[in-house]
Amino acid sequence: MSDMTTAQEITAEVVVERLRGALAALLEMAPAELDADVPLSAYGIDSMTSFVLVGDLERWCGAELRTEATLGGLTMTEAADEVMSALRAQSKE
Amino acid sequence: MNTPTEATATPASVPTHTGRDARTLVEALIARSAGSDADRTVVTALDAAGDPIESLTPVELDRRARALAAALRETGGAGDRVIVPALPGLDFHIGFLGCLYAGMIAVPVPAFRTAARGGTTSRAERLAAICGDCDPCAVLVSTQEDADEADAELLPGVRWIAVRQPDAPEAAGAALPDPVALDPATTALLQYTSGSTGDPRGVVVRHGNLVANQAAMRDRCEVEPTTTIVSWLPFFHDMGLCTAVVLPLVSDATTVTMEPATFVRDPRVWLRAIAAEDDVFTAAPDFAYDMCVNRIPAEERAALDLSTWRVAVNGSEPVRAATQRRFAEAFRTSYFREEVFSPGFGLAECTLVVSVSRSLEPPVVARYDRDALAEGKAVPTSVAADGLELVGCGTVVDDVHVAVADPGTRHRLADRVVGEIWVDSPGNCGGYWGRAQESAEVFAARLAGADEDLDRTYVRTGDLGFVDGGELFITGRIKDVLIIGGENYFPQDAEAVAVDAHPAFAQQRAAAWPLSEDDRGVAVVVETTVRDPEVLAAAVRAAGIAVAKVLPTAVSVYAVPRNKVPRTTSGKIRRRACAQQVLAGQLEPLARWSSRRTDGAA
Repeated sequence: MSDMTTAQEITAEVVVERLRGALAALLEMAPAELDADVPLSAYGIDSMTSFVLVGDLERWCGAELRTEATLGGLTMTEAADEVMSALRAQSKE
Repeated sequence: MNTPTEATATPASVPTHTGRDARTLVEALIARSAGSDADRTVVTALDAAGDPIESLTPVELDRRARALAAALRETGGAGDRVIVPALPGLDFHIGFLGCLYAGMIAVPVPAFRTAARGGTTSRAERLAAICGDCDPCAVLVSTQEDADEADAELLPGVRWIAVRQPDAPEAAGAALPDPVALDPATTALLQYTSGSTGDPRGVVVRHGNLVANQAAMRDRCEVEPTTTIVSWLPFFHDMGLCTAVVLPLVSDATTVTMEPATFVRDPRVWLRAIAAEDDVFTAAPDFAYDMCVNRIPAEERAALDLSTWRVAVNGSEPVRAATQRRFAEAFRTSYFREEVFSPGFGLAECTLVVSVSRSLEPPVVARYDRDALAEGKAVPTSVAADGLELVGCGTVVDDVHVAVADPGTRHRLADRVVGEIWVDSPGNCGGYWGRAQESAEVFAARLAGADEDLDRTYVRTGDLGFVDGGELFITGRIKDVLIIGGENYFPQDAEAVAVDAHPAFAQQRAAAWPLSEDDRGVAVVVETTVRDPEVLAAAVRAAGIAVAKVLPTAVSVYAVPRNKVPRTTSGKIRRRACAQQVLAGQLEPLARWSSRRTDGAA
């Protein structure tokens, strides 16, 4: 239930920043070096490594992202859209 | 040995109760489900935490495969294609074998979203391309609920069928397996290898190919009924399908599987599953071993006992000596020994394995003079600075014959001369689905002027390498192909999108190539007439993003003045020469962009 209160505060920008932090930690890069419009695969996140990020996002935002979703081909901006639509779908249920 | 006085062949009617003598996978499973092994688990699926979700005995797997086969035969006939996505748990095993029992051709593909959803993904496009190529009659999903909810528009004209079916009615069950499933010449599956959506090529793999190839893997790696195969590889990949589904059936071994996502989320799950078994065979690409070192902290390694790990096949990507050394050093505390690594070479066109090192023999790592290699000669050197370290991919497995050939003259080359690797093997497949001409070129090549080889036809692998003392070494690719995550992509794709990404590059020439042997990623050079640094900075970024959207790897883009990209006299782009010029600093870029850290040389 606490997830719902968090969910209401989450915006696409917040997701991008969360993702940026997780990605920077994973890649040992500075967050500022990551461009939100570049597909994550270009940073070495293959379709499989992206499950790490999906797992991290799921735990954080409380929404279940589709398990077959792979973030690898998405940009941070697009991934944030995925999270937002998952949160919206969840709050409707 | 007895003198053969009678001309009778081994009677085929004697039931063997083992998969080790079977000629098809269906025969292997039926034999096993009638023998002493009938009630011993053949395959177990683990969940994301490493706990078992489901186990099946040969009898149960046989029953479920028959039930699905009966349902499939209501939709199509023998020889029809069925899409088998990488379904979770044991649904892929059941789905794949169900197709074979029905005499139908399985087409393994990555998992995809089946429910209605707006927009397209590259995965959906790739699936559509594969369906366009092989014209399937059905696609498998896990449950009836999935089938009911599936978006019919995703694959028009194709039936959605649940893997999990009620037991087949006796009449339908008795007619199964279809007689063609017991014939080694029957096509078992189409293995699609290309990551490019524009060019799906399905390798036609027959039952006899699967059995012969994985029996050779079994014998080389000494996979016994007491061996457990622990795999996280995707089932739609040749190495995953062969080692986790085929190998256990032809060796009477047991398999423990987990989803690729499980391994990637937490590689410890894989290693713990290995530690839990007595005699373990695994297969994985080079990057998996790096991932284990990077993601499992030193203090946790000591808690793992990997002494039961006997064979770790390293293949499907270039094998790096540094990776194996690093892993062996990192996990020495877990009782891992470097000789557990069995580097290998293989390709889907030959089913899978061509060569692989023997179980528990130290890996062959040799240093060859870099300049001599560039001229096609493998000259050993002891000077570290001059040498390129190569890992031997073992000797060829039983019944496989390799020739290193000059790709132009088709003449056989001597030992330690670099050429194209040609393979004659019982695993050599039947060609690419529906592509007769290309199949003849790739699957039925003949050497020129070699008398003893008149009857041999070879698969041309497109890989460059040499043989030294019987050991096969791979040095690169003959064609301009980018191999990313085990899949082939074409540089033309990257060049086209780079040029289209920004007006500064419109109508210009581009050249794309892999960054280097040790470095995953792609570099693209684009010509331009623009000199404004701000415009160029925007252009290289736009091109980089566009390329990254079609090639799932690290990308670097360089803008260079017009007519700087080297080409042949007929105007074809010389990608390799371009790469060398950039690396050597001879081609000075006007602007550059890289998805990598700026301190990383590209």
